[in-house]
Amino acid sequence: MTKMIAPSAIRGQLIAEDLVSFGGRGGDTQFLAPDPMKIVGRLPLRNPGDMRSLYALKIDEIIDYLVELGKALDLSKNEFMQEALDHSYAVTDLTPPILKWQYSLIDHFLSRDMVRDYIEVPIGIRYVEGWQKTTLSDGRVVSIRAMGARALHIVAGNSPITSIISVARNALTRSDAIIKSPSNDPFTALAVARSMIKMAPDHPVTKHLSVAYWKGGSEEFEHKLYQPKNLEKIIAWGGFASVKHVTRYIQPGLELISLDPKRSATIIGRQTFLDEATMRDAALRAATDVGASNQTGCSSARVILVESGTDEEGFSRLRRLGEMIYEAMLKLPGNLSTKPKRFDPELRNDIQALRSAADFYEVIGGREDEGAIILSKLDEVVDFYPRLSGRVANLVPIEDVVADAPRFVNAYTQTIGIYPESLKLALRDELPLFGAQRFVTLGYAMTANPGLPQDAIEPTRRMVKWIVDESCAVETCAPLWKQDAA
Amino acid sequence: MIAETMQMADDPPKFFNHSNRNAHRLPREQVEEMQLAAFQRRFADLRERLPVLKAAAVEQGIDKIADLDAGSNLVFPDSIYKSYPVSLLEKNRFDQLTKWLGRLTTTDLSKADVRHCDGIDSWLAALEDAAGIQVVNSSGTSGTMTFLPRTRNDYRIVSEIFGMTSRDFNEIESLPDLRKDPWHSFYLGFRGGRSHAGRAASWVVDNFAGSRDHLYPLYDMDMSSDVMFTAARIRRAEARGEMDRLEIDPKLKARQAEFETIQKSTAQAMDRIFDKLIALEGKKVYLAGMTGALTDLSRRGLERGHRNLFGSRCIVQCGGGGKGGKLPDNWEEVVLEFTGAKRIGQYYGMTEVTMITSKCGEGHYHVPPWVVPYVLDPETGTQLPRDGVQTGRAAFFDLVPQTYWGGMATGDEVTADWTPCACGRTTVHIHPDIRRLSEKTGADDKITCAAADDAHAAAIDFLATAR
Repeated sequence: MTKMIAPSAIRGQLIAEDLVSFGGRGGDTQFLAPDPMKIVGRLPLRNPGDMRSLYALKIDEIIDYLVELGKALDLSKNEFMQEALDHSYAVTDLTPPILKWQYSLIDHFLSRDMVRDYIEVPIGIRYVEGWQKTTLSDGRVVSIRAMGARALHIVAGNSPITSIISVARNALTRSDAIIKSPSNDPFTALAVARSMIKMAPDHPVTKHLSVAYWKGGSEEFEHKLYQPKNLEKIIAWGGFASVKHVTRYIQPGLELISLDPKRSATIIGRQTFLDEATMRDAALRAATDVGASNQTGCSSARVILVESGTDEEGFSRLRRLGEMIYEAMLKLPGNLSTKPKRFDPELRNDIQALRSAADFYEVIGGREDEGAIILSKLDEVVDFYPRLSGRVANLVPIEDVVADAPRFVNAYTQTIGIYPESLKLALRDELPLFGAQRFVTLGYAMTANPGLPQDAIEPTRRMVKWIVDESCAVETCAPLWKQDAA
Repeated sequence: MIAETMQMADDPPKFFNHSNRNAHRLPREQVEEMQLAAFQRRFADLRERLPVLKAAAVEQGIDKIADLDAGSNLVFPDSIYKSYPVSLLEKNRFDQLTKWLGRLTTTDLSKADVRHCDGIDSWLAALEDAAGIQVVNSSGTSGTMTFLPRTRNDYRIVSEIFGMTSRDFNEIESLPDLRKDPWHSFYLGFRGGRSHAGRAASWVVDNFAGSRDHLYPLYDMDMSSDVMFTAARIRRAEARGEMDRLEIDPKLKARQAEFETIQKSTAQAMDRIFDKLIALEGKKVYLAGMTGALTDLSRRGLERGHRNLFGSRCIVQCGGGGKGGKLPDNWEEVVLEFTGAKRIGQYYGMTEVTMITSKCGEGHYHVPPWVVPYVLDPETGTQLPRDGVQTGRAAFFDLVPQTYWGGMATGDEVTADWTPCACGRTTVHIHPDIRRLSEKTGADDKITCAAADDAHAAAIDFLATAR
């Protein structure tokens, strides 16, 4: 079998020489990519002055470019994207229908209105377009501008969309990006870069994107690249090990923007049990938050707190809801959710072990690795909850969610899907104190808008450098040299 | 035949006359025939009496073990012995924990009065007093604690098997008379306790020291299961970003002064043991413990000019890795040069299986006849052929236990070898490159003496300094 090749793209140039072999995740699939030590000297943008060309563009022109790129990435016409999708099946954790569907969303994520929001919502286009002038109460007149930086993006591989978002944010902030591809998706960002080269080889946006693969943690390589003379920012998406090993290179002049590894939860209030139709509605929404993209996202629901009550009657309600969620999850459309590609054998063992502890747990499904709903009988999560994956959720009965929910929230809690909507108002001022970062209508946890804050930070605002120009007139702004002694 | 077979399964040391050599020279066919008969007997005895086995058998429609391969369908994941909600330990709900454990053993635990228990140590003591059961706990390095319902007799057998293996490895032909001629026995760990590591000191007494008078433990105290649970909770809280929520059990907090004393005395323990070693120069010595501590002592001895301290009769055994740091590459040479021993025993075994096995001359760990080894596909859990050389998840059926189910899938990746071994032993053997499957995912829950001691020490530090 011929090995798959993931060349590097460096600022408009494709490099497919000095290929060496890399193992995909699990070590079963291999691909070839340029020897990282051979390209490390070419990756950084040595002269930051080269970013000047980006400032010759209006933001509207950059938006035009991205929208045109979105059209060019159309899977039915673009051979690079077709090849990337084809190759990705072997390395991704997703099943083919889901991955293909995610590729089909690229057009939406690069549509004009979406792209405009990526910069207008977090920063405001006028701040990237020019100097914004204000007068402060001490008399100084200031102009503020958000300018680009040289950044390394360590993107996540659980969805190809993370690469798309990184490309868009890089262009809109007038930055220079080096994308480090993940081993479970070494092809998507590369296909985007190749499409950019084909579409507009000399365009400044094309000339300020590089994509390469190296094994995260390769010390010799990373020590050479991760230096303040080469980079100003590192944006790390998830992966505890990948974020952790990057921290050693952080020093004055090199900033880490960390989108930490996260887990997400769901809170379902007691009003859900008013009638069968409401329960069904909540169950379908919860099933969507668990099952979408086979629970591979950081915003995928895993632990579901249910205000069912903790007595016997309460547990019957919990079981009924669990059955409905399980049923709804198996019926989700095939582009959204399927039987998982791989089921964690340790998790399988943990679930099997629970079946022997009938006083504390019940398990719905899970015998065919299709996914499962674990019902806790006590108001406690299963001990292995960080391992929940492959469409396995843990429903926990709660007496009073407003009082009890903080116990289940910590710094790793990203999204909390909530039902019914009104319950959010009772929780949103309280749970952030313990770590919760995003509240969303139940059923929408796995939808995203990159214009919004993420993991309680605003990545785009962090990506730019905020520059000020202060004008101080002697008449309005008392000079230090003229201060009278008191 | 069946009577003889059950003697082998019920009491292997007695059956094999306390000789490992005897155990490993039966023809393979004979061993497998005995194994199948014993397996079938255990299944028939326990099926109706052990709820957890009955449920599994009913679910899979198994009412008879037709052959050894069929037995592999009845190995349980080792997490079954930690399938309780961990909050029950934090809340001292030992009534519910007793009920949970009661489903995993035929020993009647209902008579144990556990209402007054205020911690794991007192709970396990209450179970032992009322039901004669010696529950062993794991080190809890994964964040939770495994409880295995062993009987006193099970542990007597484990200790005797430890003796058989140790003597075999050190070429001691017959049972020594320890009253007349005991070994001065150094154990670089805790004097006692209810974890596997804590219990190991008593095996040293049984097989080498002869009495506590000749046992010199590094830490002259029992390993506390409550302290170990604190260690487990710390690790879990750290891993989950919940250190701010970690509340120390008030009864442990009340013992803070005691922990401070322990912390100080453990710092001096190595000095004390070193002086004792030097004082016993030329004597008949047994030395066992964590590899890291053993290496430290030996290096210190060599620096001070002590070589071949005890001569070739000296027995050295070790387990676990380097304490905290990495071991030097030449640690074995260092230890041998200092002590004068000819070899260092390194054993493979686990809390859950009545097996302690040493490397043969070919570097293989031989599985004794009272344990049926299986290799499972690590991804799917299906059994690989019991034939040739197979790599995958190790599972065992331990024929010894009569009160709990001996079928257990482990977290170890092993290469098991059914082809003949050049050493002449007839038994199935495991290649030396054993690793935790969880190492692939980064979540290690390895149960070793070293991990247990380290975790205990870290928890003492934490408890001694916590505000």
